[in-house]
Amino acid sequence: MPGKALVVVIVAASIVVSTGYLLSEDNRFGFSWDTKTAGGEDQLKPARPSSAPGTSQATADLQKKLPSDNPVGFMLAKVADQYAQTVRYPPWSVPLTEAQAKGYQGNRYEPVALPLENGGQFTVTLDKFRFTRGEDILVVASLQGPQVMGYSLQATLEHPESRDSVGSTTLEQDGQTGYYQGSLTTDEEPGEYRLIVEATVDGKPVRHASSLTIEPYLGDFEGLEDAYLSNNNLVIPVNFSPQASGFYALSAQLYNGQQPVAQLQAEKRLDRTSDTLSLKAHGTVLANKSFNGKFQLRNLQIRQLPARPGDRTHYAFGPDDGYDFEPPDLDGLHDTPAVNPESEQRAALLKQLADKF
Amino acid sequence: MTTKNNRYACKIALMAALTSCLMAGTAQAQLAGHNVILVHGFQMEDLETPPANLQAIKDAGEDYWQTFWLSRSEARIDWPSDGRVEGTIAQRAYEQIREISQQGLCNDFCIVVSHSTGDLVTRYLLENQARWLQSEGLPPLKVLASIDYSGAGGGTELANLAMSLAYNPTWYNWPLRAAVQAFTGIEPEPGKLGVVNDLQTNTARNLAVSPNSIPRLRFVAGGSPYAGITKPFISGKDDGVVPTHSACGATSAQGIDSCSGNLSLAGKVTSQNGPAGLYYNHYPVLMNEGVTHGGVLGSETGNISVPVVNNTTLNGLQVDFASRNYGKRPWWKLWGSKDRYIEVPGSDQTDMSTLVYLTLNN
Repeated sequence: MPGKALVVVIVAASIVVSTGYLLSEDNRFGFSWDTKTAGGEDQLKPARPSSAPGTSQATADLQKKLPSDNPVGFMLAKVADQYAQTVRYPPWSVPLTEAQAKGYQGNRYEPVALPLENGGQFTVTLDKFRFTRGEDILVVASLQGPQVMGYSLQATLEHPESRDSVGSTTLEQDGQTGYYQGSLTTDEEPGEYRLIVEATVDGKPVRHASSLTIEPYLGDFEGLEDAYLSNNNLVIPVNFSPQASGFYALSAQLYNGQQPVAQLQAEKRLDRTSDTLSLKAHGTVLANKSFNGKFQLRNLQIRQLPARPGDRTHYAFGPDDGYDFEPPDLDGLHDTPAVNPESEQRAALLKQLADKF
Repeated sequence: MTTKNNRYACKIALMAALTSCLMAGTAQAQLAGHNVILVHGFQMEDLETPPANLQAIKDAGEDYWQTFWLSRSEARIDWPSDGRVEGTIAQRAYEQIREISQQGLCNDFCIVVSHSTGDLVTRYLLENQARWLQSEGLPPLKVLASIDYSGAGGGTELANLAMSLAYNPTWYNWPLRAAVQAFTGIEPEPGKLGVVNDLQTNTARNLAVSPNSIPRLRFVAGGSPYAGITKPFISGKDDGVVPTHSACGATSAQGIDSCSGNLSLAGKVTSQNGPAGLYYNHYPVLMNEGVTHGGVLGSETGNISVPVVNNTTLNGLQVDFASRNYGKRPWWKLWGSKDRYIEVPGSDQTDMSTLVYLTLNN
């Protein structure tokens, strides 16, 4: 009798497990000639293009090399393919997604957190990483956690080598937000500095240290000249009067309303007789697209490039609001790839490499 | 599927075995017919004992790549970790760039292989080398691509913490201090952090970030060196030193778990906290959850590599990735859908460096 009961239990358990398996979403019984795979590959299962036989599209597809089934080879082929698509954009005028626009806007400072014991956190943030000499540094800090915190924090700017303090201020707590805020001045020699924010946590001093830079005065942005079309580019001349001659690189982001269009760059030797850098937005980022109203140049940043290895790069920034400008009629622009021999050669070599797979 | 998987795995294992036999005697340099230039990562020994001269820097650079790449390279750009990128690092590196240019090693396009902080150093050098060389009447280096293992170009939170600890000699958060010491190899002091200064996330992400034409191929690790003590202090997923946001080439330092929004570091097809965007011309190629920060250079096998596929279409044709998919149901799941994984079959038979080298030299 106990034997029979055991058999019944085993049979019942088998039925439950088997039914579960049969009902499972990705269980497919089949013979080997039905399918090579054994798992829900709906999303990724092989699917050749469904062009009708005899059409030119079908012929073109047949002429294409079948992609590699070696995953590393496939990825390299994919990179070659994606790179070949970017080569059409000259390096001084590349399209931007919103995330890239944020990443390339320059002079960003993301909050820096210092973990405290028992899950607490001491965070410091600034509105930027590089400050032009004479600007105020607004410091915002927060303290979170079960610890007993003081009502104010002390912020100090230190020279990194000598450790000389070059300025300090008290960060007072905002009653509403709970954040601690205060400002430091930047009348110091250009260079890198340490920002040290000291808190009292459970009666002990805790210092949060991070870096920022004070940049020298490089010159003044003096606005834009009229934009015009030339050689399939929208040329935007930017006036900048440099304090010293040298190689400069100007970058800016071209926007139409809230839509980032392109990251623009230009490099040129400037001196007292030459004070215009022309940014160029290539036809590949502007043609056959609909734009409304004025364009804007935002996040202008000029760098005095290091003349020799070991020299520092110096930075200056355009007006916070950027510049608005009325573009000329853009109908003359066309979406024809830029001529870029070295990148084209690079793309061809990558393709040659990928063709092995 | 299984047959195809196994065949591919065997192929990889055989290729790895054959290559190691062949390479044991005579090393074949070049990658896909292009000269290879190595740029190493942070060497913590330099903080304790700064290298005395260029020869000491070069000796350390040679040691760094011993495991795999040294015998497969034509030149190296070695630099001192006690320096700053815009300082002695640029100076020392440029001395070697000048030689590479004079020797014409990149006249037919060379490939840079970088590791860790070498990613940041490479980015800075690529931005400036042409102008510096041309000012001396030398041809700029023509770089086909940079293969970046565990790229630290976006910085690491460990460097942020090292900076704060350097100013807190009397305050002890023991796990944090242990993690930072594992990373820097020293008790941090304000004037002794060298390139760790440049690895702070904000410093790194404000240095030479302009888009350029050189493709950066990203290889991302997720293992646990130092017994895992550094991992709690790095945002998102990481390889024990470098956060995934940096290794993938993400445009923000916010923590992410994968280079893809639908594929985990382990290859599981599932929604992920992926990057909102990638820097221009940055291409994540492989991820590997098991391999550690240093292990990507050839010392670790047994870990599965995952192709960073967002879709499997190329030139309008869809690749047969089904042959590399498999379903796996956790023991506790009686029914319902299996978890699906995508992987490079047989990649656990070899290491990430060999895998890339063999594929490119196939």
